[in-house]
Order: sequence, then C-alpha cells, then structure tokens
Amino acid sequence: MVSVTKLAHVGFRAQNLSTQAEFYNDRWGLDRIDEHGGEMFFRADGPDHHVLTLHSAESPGLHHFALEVASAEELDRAADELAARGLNIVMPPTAGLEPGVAKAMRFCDPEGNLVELISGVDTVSDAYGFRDVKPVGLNHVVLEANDRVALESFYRDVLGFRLTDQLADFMTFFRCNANHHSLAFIKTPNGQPGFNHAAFEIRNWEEWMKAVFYAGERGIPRVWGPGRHLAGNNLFSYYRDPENNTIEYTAEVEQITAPDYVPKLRNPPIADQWKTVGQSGPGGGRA
Amino acid sequence: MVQVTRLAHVGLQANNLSTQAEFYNDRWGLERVDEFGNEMFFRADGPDHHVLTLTEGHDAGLHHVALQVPSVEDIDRAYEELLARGVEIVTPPTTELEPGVKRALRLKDPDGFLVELVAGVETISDPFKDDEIKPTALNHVVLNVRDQAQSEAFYQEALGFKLTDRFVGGLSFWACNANHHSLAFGQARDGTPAFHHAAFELRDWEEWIKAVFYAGERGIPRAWGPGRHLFGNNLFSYYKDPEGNTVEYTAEVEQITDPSRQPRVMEPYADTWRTAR
Repeated sequence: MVSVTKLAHVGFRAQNLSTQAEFYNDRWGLDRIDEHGGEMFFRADGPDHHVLTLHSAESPGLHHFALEVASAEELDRAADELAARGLNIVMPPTAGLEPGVAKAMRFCDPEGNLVELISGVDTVSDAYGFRDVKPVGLNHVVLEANDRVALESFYRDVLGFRLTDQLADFMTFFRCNANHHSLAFIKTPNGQPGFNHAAFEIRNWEEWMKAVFYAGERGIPRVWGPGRHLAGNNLFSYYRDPENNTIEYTAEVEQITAPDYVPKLRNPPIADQWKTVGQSGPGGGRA
Repeated sequence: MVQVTRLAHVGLQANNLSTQAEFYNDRWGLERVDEFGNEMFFRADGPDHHVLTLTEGHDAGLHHVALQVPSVEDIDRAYEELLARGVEIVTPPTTELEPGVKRALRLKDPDGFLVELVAGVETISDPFKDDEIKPTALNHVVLNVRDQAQSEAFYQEALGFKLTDRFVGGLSFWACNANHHSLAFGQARDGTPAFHHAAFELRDWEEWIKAVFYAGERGIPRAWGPGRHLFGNNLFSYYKDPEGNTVEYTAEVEQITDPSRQPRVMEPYADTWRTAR
C-alpha cells in the first residue's frame, strides 16, 4: 500500500487564465508565485510552494489534485504498485513536471480523476504580501462519485486513507494525517463523477469571519454559509469562482490525534450546526 | 404636523415571557434593565433607557413601536393634533406609561398598529454588561401594511417622516433624522398587516461580523445573510427569535446629511454581496 501523508494542491482548468488568476490572486487571497507555459502556481500564507495551479484549457473544471508521499523512493514504489493494479499511469515519475516539486507522477483514479503523487515540495520562506484575506493552506477536496463505495475502497486500500466520519449514507470523510478529512466523497447527483469543491483554510475563526466579510465586499457569489459543519466541526462558507468552481473558506477543522479514534456515523446527517434556514449546500442538499 | 425625531424602541408581545427574556438578554446581546407587571425592558450598549420591551400576551408579534418627539410639550401638542385628524388615541398623554420615559401617548395607525410617542427618555450611564455581542441601538422597524400608500401618507403627513428610497413594487424607506430609514413599509401580500422585522445596530463591521459568528455559535436560526443591502448600504443578517419574530443585526447604515438628496426609485436589488437565496 502507498502511504499518502498530505493533500498538497488542487489544479483547475482555466478557460480564461487571466480572469481566474486575477480572481485567485486579487480576491481570494492567494499569491501567484510562478508561471510557465499555460500554467500558473499560487501559494497560500504557509510554507508550501503552491496550493493551487491553473491550467489554460478549453473548458473549466478540475484538472488534477496532488497528494504527497514521504520520499522519492516511495513515489517510485507507488508507480510500480499502481501500474501493477492496472491503473492508467498518465505520467511516470519525473523530476520536471512543475516548479517547486522534486518528483511527481500522474495517474487516473477508478472514476477518471487525474491524481498527482508528489514528493519533495519546496518550502517558501518569503514574507506573504499584505492581504485582508490570507488562506494558510488547502484543507480538503471533495469528489462526486458514481460508485462511491468502490472509489472509497481505492483511496483506503491503495493510498492508505482512513475513514473518519460519515453523514448517513451519502457522504464519507477520509483522512491521511490528523486533519479530519483531506478527501471526502459523495454520490454524484447527476451521473457525472468528478469535482465537488475544494476548501482553503483560514488561520482561526476571527480571520475566517473577516474572509467572509471581504468575500462579500468583493462580490464573490456565496452559495452557502457561513456556518459550522457537524462532521469535522469546521466553519464553512462556500463560493463560486468566475468559472463556477465551488470553493470554500474553512477554519477550526477537527484534528484527530487519538490512536484509538473510532469513525463516527451522523444520523440525522446535520450539515450545519448554525441552523441556517432554507439555504442549500453545494451538493444541493438542504442545510 | 408632529415632528418625530427618532425611533425610540420596539415592543414585542411575548407568548412565553421568560423564554423571550432569556433569548434577548443571554443570546441576542441586550440587557434587561427593568420589569413591572407583565412587561420587561431591555437596553442596548447605548445611552437610552430601553430599546426593546416585551409584553406578556397570547400571540407573539409586534406590540408597539415607539417614536420620540423633542419635548414633553410636543406630546400634548401631538395629542391635540392627532385628535383633530381623527386618529384613534389609545392612551392620552401620561407620565405613568413605563419606566425611563417622562411622558408618552399611544395611538393606532391606519393598520391598527399601536404606535407610542415618547418624550424625555432617560439616559443610562452604567457600564454595559460583558458580552461578545453588544448591539448599540435599535436602528429600524419594517411593517407589512394593508395599503402601502395610505400608511406612507399617514407617517409622512401626521408624523413628519420623509421618503429616502423606494423599490418598485417593494419596500419604501422612511427617515425621521439622518438615519437612512427608521421605518420601512411593504405591501402585505395577503392583505394582513404584520410586523416584518426590527433591526439592531452594531458599532462597526467588525463588531457586526463577530455578532454573525456568535449568533451562529449560539444556535440562533439565521434566515438570510450576512450581506449588504443596496438601499441604505447597510450590512445585514436576519434571524428568528424563539417566537418566530424576525430580527436583524445591522451596521454601517447610510446617514443622509445632504438636504438636497432626492429619493431613488429602483427595481428591487436586495444584496450587493450576491448571496444565493
């Protein structure tokens, strides 16, 4: 089994690269750190070289997400194991895939999502520029699945993720470190598997509340929140970027440190402890 | 014409007085200052003796709206003038209506809403309690009325309110001082007049967004917001109290000081923050 240690970054296809870059740099609070060809790289106010990538493309949507493994050797071993399991290796381990990453490979998961495995992420120690809103990292990515159980099995059995939490029979939360969930899965509402949303973390509730304020002042359309989830106990507020990707500001995500932690099953599956009335979640579910 | 100078307080009728008192004192951020008989009085973190009253009664909803006039003599003048207009007077001028108010009278507006005119509101200089949410004042009250044009004419002609803005086929906003609106009126869809909401003001946007956070943490059901209105440019977040009354936290309400400013008339555009609803 491959042992993923971290969710590293998320990549979006950008139909209009400059509009999307303007949005993430000037309004969402990230900082463009590099670009080459039709690709751009954005850091958060944390050590990682980048937490978001944009890729010039014909249509918007998820390009890939990246998971970190402990070492270059682990990455090579992962490539062998994934190939042996019959997965589609889109790019074998290479040193030249992107700036800030020592070694990377790409494959397709069982539902066709492009997944990157990486090792050796550069840390950036430059001071972060002045921003009213400063996400500190990428916290989680949620996928919509045709066959949720099969997709979960893949991430659990092949990549080492562990179940943390479950909302009734429609959403599951998986972790690869102390963070309550780095990936979560819901059944697709429309038969189209793929991306549901990506969450960017804010340092604490006060910074998060400020982020909600500035997102409003900047006219970023809000689709749900602010509120507090039951699973993960995290604060949430969901938005749409200019190309309609759903993105979240989150904070205070539960950290699982007990070695004997037992996954929770939430029934009734309360989505928002703040009792917002009549607002629906990004997956279409009622709060 | 009577010249109202301020919105003084709002009174709600409470089906369960102790539940409502607990809510406004312990969760909404007001502070109970007095009580007698079946009435309770709550102040905000401002000088006024009270900004909210709760009156025990069978049905939840609006009990009365209190508007301030400059002097106790104005109460008596208003009484004569309102009688002359044929307005129904419920309580003639009295000094005994409630604590913290020198002189008051009560009348019925065209919809039968109980309106109180007050003068000589006591100021309180005691420090306010320690709380994460500290409203500083009552900012405005909105009513759904049977006949919007008739209500507007009454408040304009009898009480001196001025139109500041109007949504076509929607709310109209009325001022009695620099505050963008102290009252607003909407046409009741089913023809039944009803309390729409009351807004409590927070000191600034930072206090307001903190209030949004703590309201969430205290499990106060949020009906709409947070956002920013177009008319009045104020920040808003709407909640339901335990008896289903809608109450709002607001901040940064536009203050109109230009005497030549003309009312705007626009198609409804509620939220510049573009929240899905």
